Amino acid sequence: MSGKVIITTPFPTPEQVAAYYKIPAKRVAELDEMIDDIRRSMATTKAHAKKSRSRNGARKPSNGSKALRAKK
Amino acid sequence: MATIKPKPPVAFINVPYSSRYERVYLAFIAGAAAYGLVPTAAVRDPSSRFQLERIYELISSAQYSFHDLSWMSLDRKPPRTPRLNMAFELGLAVSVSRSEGAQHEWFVFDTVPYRLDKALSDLGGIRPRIHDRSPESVLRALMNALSRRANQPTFANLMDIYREVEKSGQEIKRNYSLDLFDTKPFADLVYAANKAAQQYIPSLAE
Repeated sequence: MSGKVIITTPFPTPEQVAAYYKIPAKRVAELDEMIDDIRRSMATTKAHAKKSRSRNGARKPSNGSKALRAKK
Repeated sequence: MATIKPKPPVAFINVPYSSRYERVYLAFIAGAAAYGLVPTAAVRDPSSRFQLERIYELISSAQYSFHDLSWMSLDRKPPRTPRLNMAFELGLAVSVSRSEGAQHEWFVFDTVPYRLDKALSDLGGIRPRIHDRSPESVLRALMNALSRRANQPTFANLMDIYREVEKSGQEIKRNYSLDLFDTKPFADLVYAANKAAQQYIPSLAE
């Protein structure tokens, strides 16, 4: 088995990968669109998580207020 | 004069085709792409040719191969049998790497340390890379196997690439195939992994 290997070859471009797998241009366009949609939705989810984290941080109830609610 | 671009290096991925290994499979695709390799696997190029001939060609045309030998249980269908394909394909890769003029590096992965000493004692003295079937552990194991002179990905880059490949897998399942261990989904995942590498490895995105 190989130890750690160092790769020196240049990175393949998406065009090279598509050519290697003979992915037709139409399918490449569909995949590019799918990837753009995924990135948009991941960015929205990230922004939402960041927003709710900061909001929760500001509104985090203290143990005292929780105990008071439980009493009521 | 036309310039001839060198062919990108190819990595053969040898993992069990089981839903239990789906995340391992996606992590190997994402990890190989993150290091600038083009993943290939036995799912590629189905044809009427003999399976053995086809797999031998795939392995011998690859510069690297990753062999996950962690599936060692018997299946449920009688007669209960172990899956020997992964070990057999490793044997082919070892043979290819030892042939004259060959440029093939192979790597073994397992989930239990020292188990291979017992299960495959012919590999005695060779320590497999250990993972726990989580994408994080597979990517860490790949980081211990591979390095790049330029455009070296960080662990955070690998995880970003994995997440995008996983999302692509979910989209493929929603759109046309529940089985990701198939020819078209595999090609689509490899393309998506390469695009993700271009996006998340900062030196490539520049």
